[in-house]
This record gives sequence, C-alpha cells and structure tokens, in this order.
Amino acid sequence: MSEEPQTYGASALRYLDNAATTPVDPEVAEAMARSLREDYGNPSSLYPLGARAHRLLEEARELVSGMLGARTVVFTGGGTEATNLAMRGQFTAGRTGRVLVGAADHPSVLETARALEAQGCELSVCPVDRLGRLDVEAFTDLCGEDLRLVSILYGNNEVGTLPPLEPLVAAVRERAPRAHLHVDAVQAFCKVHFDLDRLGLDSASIAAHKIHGPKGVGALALGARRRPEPVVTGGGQEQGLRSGTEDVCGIRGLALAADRWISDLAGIGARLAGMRARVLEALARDGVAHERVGDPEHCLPHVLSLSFPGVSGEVAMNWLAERGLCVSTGSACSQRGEKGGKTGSKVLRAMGLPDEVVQGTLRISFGRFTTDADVDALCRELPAVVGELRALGL
Amino acid sequence: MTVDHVVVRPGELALKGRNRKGFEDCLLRNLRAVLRPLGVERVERRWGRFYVGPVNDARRIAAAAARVFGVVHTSPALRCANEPAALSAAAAETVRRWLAARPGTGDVPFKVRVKRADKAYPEPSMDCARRLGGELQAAFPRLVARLDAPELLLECEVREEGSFVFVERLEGPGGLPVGSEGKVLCLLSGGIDSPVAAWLMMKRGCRVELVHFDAQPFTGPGSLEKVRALARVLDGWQGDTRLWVVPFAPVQVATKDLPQPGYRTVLYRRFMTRIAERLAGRRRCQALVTGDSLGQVASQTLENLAAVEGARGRLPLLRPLLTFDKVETIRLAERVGTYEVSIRPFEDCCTLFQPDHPVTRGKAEVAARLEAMVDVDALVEAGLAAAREEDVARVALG
Repeated sequence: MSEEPQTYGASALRYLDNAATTPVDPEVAEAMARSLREDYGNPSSLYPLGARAHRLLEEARELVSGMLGARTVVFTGGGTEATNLAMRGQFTAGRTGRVLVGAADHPSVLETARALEAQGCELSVCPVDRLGRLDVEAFTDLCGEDLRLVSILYGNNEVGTLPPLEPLVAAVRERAPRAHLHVDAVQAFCKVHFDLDRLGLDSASIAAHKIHGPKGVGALALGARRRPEPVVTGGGQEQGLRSGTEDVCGIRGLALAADRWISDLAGIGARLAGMRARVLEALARDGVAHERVGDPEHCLPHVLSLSFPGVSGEVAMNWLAERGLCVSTGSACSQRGEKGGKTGSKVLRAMGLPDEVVQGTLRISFGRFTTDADVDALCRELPAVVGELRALGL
Repeated sequence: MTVDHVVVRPGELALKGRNRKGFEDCLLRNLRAVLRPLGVERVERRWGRFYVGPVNDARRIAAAAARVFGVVHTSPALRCANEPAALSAAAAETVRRWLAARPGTGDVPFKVRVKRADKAYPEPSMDCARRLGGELQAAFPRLVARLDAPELLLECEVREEGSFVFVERLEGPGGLPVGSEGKVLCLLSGGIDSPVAAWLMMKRGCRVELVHFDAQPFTGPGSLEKVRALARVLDGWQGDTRLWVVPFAPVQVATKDLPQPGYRTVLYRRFMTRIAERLAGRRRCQALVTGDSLGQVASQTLENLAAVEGARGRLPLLRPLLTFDKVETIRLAERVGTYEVSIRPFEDCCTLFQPDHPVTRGKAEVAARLEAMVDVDALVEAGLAAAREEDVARVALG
C-alpha cells in the first residue's frame, strides 16, 4: 500500500486476522470516495443523475451475479443481513417448517435458526467431525420431505474447513425437494471457486469487508427458484427483497474489491496457501509443539488454525498484539460467570476437541495485502511467544 | 415582559451554617464550569438560589444544571416583575406553552401554587393563587381546578429579585458540591460497583481521581477502553476527571508461583492498595475509595477486607458501598449512567491467575509471609513509576 505503514507502539502493525475483516484496498477506497461525492443520486430518481446511479448499481449487480453464477443478487447491509434474508425470508407470515443447519456454523446462521425455532420451526443441527466437516451420513439422514430450509457453511470462519458440498447438495435435492438451500459463503467468496448455478444452490451470502471492500455491504446471491420473501419492507428496492435507498457507493466498493480479487483467484489463493505453509515450516523448524486445527486438506487457503496445548490462546494473542501482530483466538475466556472462564469457542467445542486444545487455539488469516515481511515477523514472534508463555506456565 | 430563565435550587447548603459561603462559592464554580460549554456567561447568585438567564434553551440548561452535585431541583421558568399584571401574563404564557406541547381537547386538572417570599408584594399568596387560577381557567377552557394530584402544577415564586413562574422541577442529585470536601483516589475496575463508589464520594463533595490496575498484556486493550468509558460517564458528574493507569502484570507474574494460590486475590488487593496509597500521596488525595461490599463475593469477607487493610499505611480506606445489596448498587449505577458500560462483556483474563479455591478467611500474617518471598517494595515502586495518566476524552469525529 502506498500510505505510511501503520505502527503499534514501537513495532510495525502486522495484520494477520483477515478472516475477521480486511484492510480496504486503497484503490477501492479511492473509487468509493469519488463515488460518495459524485454518485449521490437516488437510483429511483428519474432525471439523469438518478439514472446514472441506477446504471452503476445495476452494473455492479451484473458483475457480482456473474462472479457467483447467480441469477441475480440482492445487496444488503452485510453478510449477516443477507443470511437473515435467506433464512427468515422462508418463514414470513407465520409459516413454519423444519430447518437444518450445521453445528459449527457462524452465529448469524445458528442464532437465526434458534430465532426461527422460537417462532415455531423445528430445528435440526447436523454434527461435525473433529476436522469440522459436516458428517455426510448424518446430514443425509436429517434431510426429508418436511425440510423447508437448509444452510451450509462453506468455509468455516474459525478453522477454515470446507465441507464436501456436492454430496450434501445432492442429498438435499434428492430427499428434501421443497427445501431452500442456502450457503453461507462469506469466507469462501473470492478465496475458492464457487458457482451457484453449477452447484444448484438457491442462495449464498457474501460480505465485502472480507475481501478488502467496505464494511456494511453484502449481498444475497439468488438462483432461479425458491426465492425468499422480504424481511425489510418499504419502497420495494432490490427487486422488492430489501427496501431502502441503495448504498451505491458501498455496492460499487463491493463489486470492485471482488473484481480485483477474482481476476486472479487461483494465483492469490496459491500465494496465501504458501504463507500458511511457511508458518507451519517455521514451527516445525523451531520444534514448537502444536496441533493443526481443522481439515488440512479441504481448507480455505487463507486460514490457519493452530493450537498450542497448555498455552492460553487469549494470552498468546495479547502478547503477539504487544509486538504488533494481530491474530485472533479460537476461544475467548471472556464470558465471566462460569467458574474458571472455561467457555471457549463454540465451533471448537462442536468439533469435540479437548479443553486444552480449545483454550490454546489461535487463528491466523492472510489477505491480499499480507506481505512477506508480515509472515517473517510471525515466523519469528510466534515461536518466541509460545516459548515464553510455556516457560511462564501460562 | 417575561424572559426565560433557569432556577437552580441547592440543597443542604442552607443547613451548613458557618461553611455556607464556601459551599455556595464551590457550587457556583461548578455550575459555571458545567454551563459554560452551553454558552452560559453568567450565573446569578441570590439568597438560597441561583439563576441563569436570559436564555433561549432553558430546558437544556436546566437539565445540565440538574446533574451538578449540591443541586436538588432546577426549573425552566419565566421571570417577570413583582406586579400582579406581570404575573398574570407570565402564568398565561407558561400554560399556553404547556398546552401547545399536549394538543387535544381533554380536561387538564390544574392547580396554582404561589409562594410569596417578598412581603413587599401586596397580594397574599392564597389570594394571588386564586386570582391566577380564575384568569387561567377563563383563558384556557381545558383547565379544571383540582387541588389534589393536579396534572399541571403551576408554581409562582415571588422573591425580592423578581418573580418566577414554572411548571417543571427537574430532580438534581443533591449532596454537596464537588470540591467542597477535598480529594480522594478511587480504585476503578471495569465492574458495576467501583464507579458507583466514586459517584457517592462525589455526592459528598469530594473531587475523585481514578486509578485502574491494568493486566495487559494478559488481557487485551478492551478492559482499559471500558474503564475509559466509565471515567467519561463519571466525568459528566464532576468535570476535569483524571484517570491513572498502573500496569499490574508484573505483580501477577511475580506472585504466580507463590505457595497458597488461594491467597492471590488478597495479595493483588494488598498490592493495589499500596500502589494506590503512594499515588494518592503524590496526587494529594486524602483517602482511598473502593467499591467493596461486605460478603458480595468470596474475596469480600470481613476477614479478607481486614487482610487487605493490613497493607495500608496511614490514609483512610473508604468503602461507601460496604452495606449495599447488589440490587441497590445496580439501581444507583443505572442512575449514574455507568451500568450500561459496566455490563459490557469483560475481557477479564484475571481468570488466568484465578485460583480454584480462593481463601475466604484470609489472614494478614499469612499474606505478609507470602509477600516476604517477593520484593514488595520494588514491585510497588515499579508500579508507581509506570503509572501514567490516561486521556478520557473521546476521539474527535473529524
């Protein structure tokens, strides 16, 4: 990036938490700043200023739909809202039915599923194995005629595991023909190739801020059939599915960020996976005892989840932060109350990992703007911090 | 002619005999400090009253003044000359505004209360109230006289400096003006209790400085941010608040391998007390304040409080919440405005060092014996040396 590097105290800031969010691509930021000033017209207005905004909006829609193999996309205020539209949009006007989600899903899915359960739906939760993969057999057994909604997490946000999508989709189509099939692709979008039409999905959620775009912008990609009903009502924008004056500038930011990544999806993916390999090599070289968490084979290229048994992941995170390195924990002992604070990550617990592994987990995630120097710093500091904490008995 | 004013009524000051002038001076200073940012140039002081005016936004200024300790009530009011006709006009205008904000046709039970402090004004209070009541009823058909529980109570105070007509009393916090009782240092965690303890000390006239013991890098910066937010809320009650932050990780590391881990909490609190007392000396604070409440958690038994107290030097250690139930403290925290901040999820890695079985009947001698295994003085000195002042102001928007 062209600007002055950010610092944290005396150390350079090294951002290695791109699964949480990403720095905005400077070119995206610049294009958005221009768009924010110039394209302020309301896309619903009929004079040229409005017509231009409308055109920009529809061009962005075409671009993003094309990238996802979708019939269309509905722009939303982020990934969570997109997921809420997909899920709640099946059960408007008091409709109920059975819902199937995964045990290691993101809270935007799990909590929405619980809310649907509270309003009368039946909830089925499919277990995951120790690698975080949905159990295909159990999943297939849970599919049935009465199923109205299925949500599958494509790319686990904590451990990176990618589910075996094709057999899962086949099971739904065969056994639950009336179900709306939603995929939470917030982490996978741009990271791995993904095509709604080819896979035969009904909807997929994405978010701009995971791909160096702005926060507060996302989209629900839609297939041809089984569309949701609107949850947000009003002026009928976004094909009636998401009322409210469109954020043309943010939507342009989403489209541009996606375009700049997807044009070299394979190349970028390989580079990110290479960074991950270097960290693993450094740990092996320094003889740092660790466990890889998640599926090492079927995994998002930018996520590396590691556990250092015996070390508190939260303390390790704070110590790395002191040295300018931003990573996150797989667990947080933040919830007070439970004695000893042993709550830990729901995802890791759903995977059936022992407490020691859960408490010792760190998530490192790379992005397009991660530099070799960032990875060097991590390869240097991570073994050092883990060593120091082990010496302290923390 | 009527002009918008704000009437500010101080509380206990009247009781304070010889000290009265000092308290009033202090309250006047505090009122000015709070109202200056709202564009108020002048606060007028009369016997037992303060007046602000003329002003355009009396309601906003009355609300701000109602957050100043030492104030029991404030009222947005119309001020007029001590003449029957002027009172009539002010009363009619006040009622007109009140009704305008409540459109409708329903009856409004009302009552007029007149208090004549200026005996030079010829009309006795009761006569004046009756006269104004009659005039208002004639002018505003929705009004119906009702002596008990009226919906609209119109009050007129006829005083030497002028007459004041108002319909609203905003409740102030009462107590004594901050600064009238010297300065204390309050140990502030991120919890519910300690900010309330700080507020109660302000209420009794103390200027309160705050000290927080920070466990970074064992915790993230989140808990410190929370403490800054609490300090900002408290700052709204006294202004010019100073927050000191002392790194506590060195104490946690130095004591983690001592025998009897059940004593850790007691040891931490003894270290905090020592460092805070030294800091208080440097800041010329006259007492330490904590949010302890007897028996609330295992560490707050009488024995443990005594064991912590054993580390104290000569400064008094005040515990304004000692006898409070949790619900009482929570109710106050809601009033103070700290509750919403205190219940934000706490990034509290103290759990890291938290023993499985904390002692509930700690003894000062045992604590002292454990402390003999570490260099207490060096840790206290290092803590004091590393204490830094934290800016509590918000980050600028632009």
